[in-house]
Parts: sequence; structure tokens; C-alpha cells
Amino acid sequence: MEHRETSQRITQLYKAFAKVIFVKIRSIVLDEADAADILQHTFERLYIKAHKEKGSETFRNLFYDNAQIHGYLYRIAINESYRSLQKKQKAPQVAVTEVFEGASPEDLLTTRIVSEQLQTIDAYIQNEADEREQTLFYLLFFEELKQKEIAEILGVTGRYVRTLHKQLVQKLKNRVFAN
Amino acid sequence: METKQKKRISDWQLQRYHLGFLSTEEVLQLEEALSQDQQLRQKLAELESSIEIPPFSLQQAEQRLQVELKDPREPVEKEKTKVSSEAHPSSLLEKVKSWKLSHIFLSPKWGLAMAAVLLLPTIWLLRSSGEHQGLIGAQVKGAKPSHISWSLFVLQGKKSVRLETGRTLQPDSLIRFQVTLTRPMCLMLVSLEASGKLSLYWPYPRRQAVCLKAGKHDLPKGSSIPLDDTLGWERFILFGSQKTFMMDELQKDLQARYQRSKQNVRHIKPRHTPFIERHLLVQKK
Repeated sequence: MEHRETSQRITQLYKAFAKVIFVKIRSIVLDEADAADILQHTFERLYIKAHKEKGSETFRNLFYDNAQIHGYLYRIAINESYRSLQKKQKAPQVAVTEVFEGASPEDLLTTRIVSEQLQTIDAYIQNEADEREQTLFYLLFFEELKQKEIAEILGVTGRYVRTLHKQLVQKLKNRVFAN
Repeated sequence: METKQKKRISDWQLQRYHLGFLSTEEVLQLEEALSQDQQLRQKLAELESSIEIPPFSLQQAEQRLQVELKDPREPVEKEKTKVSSEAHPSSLLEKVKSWKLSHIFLSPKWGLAMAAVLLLPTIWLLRSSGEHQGLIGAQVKGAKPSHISWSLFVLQGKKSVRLETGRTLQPDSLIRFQVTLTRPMCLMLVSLEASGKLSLYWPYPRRQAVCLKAGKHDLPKGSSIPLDDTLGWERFILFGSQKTFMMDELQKDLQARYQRSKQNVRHIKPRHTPFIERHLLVQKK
């Protein structure tokens, strides 16, 4: 991919998707100026990715497929929006029971203070989780999307989303119920 | 008492609908939900409304790229997100280049591994090179050209007269189309003038294909379209697909076909991948 070709494509994608992505970001951060910054940041990340992956055929296929690139932009936007909220300490909170659906009542009762659990989850998501785990967490618990929809956004199969979900919940369980 | 439960439609699905990435079945489901849910209609209206968005600053992106390229933390970040990384041919080739020849021919095992490393990416590259060229976003998997039939009618007084391809019409004549579908399909009707100008006839002014159920449909519904006053040949093309699609997806391809046919609309031939196409040619005199 030539430098000029990448710039042209990014401009083209901005024209096609900026509005829908902006509306979504604004619905999360509830601020026009913040939403505009996150939108710029989202497309900047795509621009950087396109330059770093210019030899990759896989990325090229993604870059020139409107449906796939929409999923890519959507997940960056979601990630950036919730991260921005978390920085400002305004992120919505998830019920612990929601994350550990299926955990035994004893498990949940053994931990004394629920807010401690939330802090543990929050700390893991912000500091230790990789980008894919963060996105999965936001899409599952904040956006409340179905696994099929998450699979579309992440560009993976539904089965893989289920595996990632299980792994994420296990990691969180290990941390929360460690004591 | 109303017992029917509303199906929850996510913002993601609504965006895909607005952008034309949903299949016919999904579109029909979503439209049903739209007809029942006021809030959902408002969300869609927001997506369709014109919002002022600051232009994208390529300069700022370029500056950030330069900073990232110099940033020594880059490899650490790459390692952190290795779940999503995939080996691609260029990185494999670089790895192979760094190997010494003596290492490769130490044993037959190494020779076989080497051959596999060299051949597999090449085969993969060759197979994937044919994809993603030209049109994107729409599929006609399982659909056949015979699933669409259509006719052009011209209004003469109070009568509608059916026209065959190649006939002559007067500018400003009122026309309408009748389409028969044997299965649900998303349609868009465009016309290509002798000068190469592409115009959208239906669904005007929305530049996204509209999905219709199987059966007979009038395009546009309950009215007719006046022909413009440009003289010469005009080709009407009806595009069908199982997924909804945007006019932009057709534009580039049609222009290329127009150029290939030596800028003569009479010589453009119907093609049935990735869209199903139906053509009608008229002359305006």
C-alpha cells in the first residue's frame, strides 16, 4: 500500500463511517468535544495500523472491505470511549453477579464487600487486560451485545468469542476470589 | 393484552442496517422492530440526520505515526496484543532469510520444513490475490438471475404501455417499472446516460438498496418518474442482491465498464456477479 493510497482510503472511510461512529461515541461519553477527539483518535489509530501493516495481505483485505473495517472502527471507538470515561472516573459500573453468571452463591458470599470486587475487576481491565479482552468486556457488559454481534465486531467466530468470554471470566474469578 | 416481546436491537445492528451491511432476513426483522419501537426510529433518524463533524486531520495522524515509529515501547505493546497478530508471508520470509544455509540442509527434516515454509505462504498469497478486487459488500449467494424479472411502462394519457428494450421515448415521458421477485431481494435502479453520467432512479434520494419481499412491486410505488431531457441512449440497470448495498459500491464498477465499452452505453453487457443485474436500453429523441 502506497502512502498516498492509504491516505486516500482513510479519507474515504472517514466520509463513509465518521458520522455513525461519532453518534455511537457521543452516546457513550455524552460530550460533543470529547466525542470529536475520540473520533479523530480512532481514525488516527487506523492510519497508524495501515502504515505498520502495509505488507500484510490480511490487513489489506480488512482495510478494503467496508463491512470488516466498520467492525474494526467500531471496536476501537468503543474501547477509546470507555477508556476515556474510566480516566474521568465516569464509567458505568457492572454488577458482579452479571460478570460471574453461573458462579455459586457461596463464591459470591465469601467475598465481603462488593465494591472491592468491582475495584479488582476494574483494575484488571484497565491495567492488565489486553485490548481484545477490554473490548470484549465493554461489549459484553456495557453494550450488552450478543455473542454473534461481538464476533462480527471482533472479526472472529462465535465459538472463539465463547472461549474468550470463558477465559476472561476465569481470569477475573481468579483475581476476585483469590482471597 | 399484548404478549409479544420486543426484540432488542443494538446500536451495532442499527448501524449495520444504516450502512447496508445486513442480509435481507436481518433487514426485514429490523424493519419490523422499527415499526414497533419509537425509540429505535429516533436512533435511526439521528444516524440519517446531518451532523457537523470536524474533518479528519491527516497531518495530526502523520505526526502521531512519526512519534509511534520512534517510540521504543512499541515491541512491548505488540507483545501485549499478540492474541490478534497473525503470521504473514513477509515476516516468514524475513525469518527464512536470516537462517544460514548450512542449518537448512543439516537433515531432510529441515529441508521439508523449509519447503513448507516457502511454499505455503506462496500458495496462500496466490489464492488470496484474486479476492477483494472490484465490488464489495454484496453477495448473491444462492440467488439466480431468474429470481428477478422486470418491465418498463410508459404512461400515455391514462394508459400504461409496456416497452421493450431498444425502443424510443420522448424526453419528459413518465415511466415506471414493475418488478417481480421470486424471493426476497434488495434492489436499486440506476441509469447510465450516453455521456457516462450515472443517475439513481430508485430508491431516490436514499442511496441505499431497499429490500423487498417476494412478489410483484411497482417502482416507484404508486407514482411514475419523468425522464430527463438529455437526448440519446440511456441504459436502465436494476441491481439485486441478498444483502442491502450502497450506490457508491456500484459507481466505480459501472464507470469502469463504461470506459471498457468505449464509452458507449449500448455495448455494456449484463453481468451477474456479485450483483444480479437486469438491463433495459431506451433511446430518447
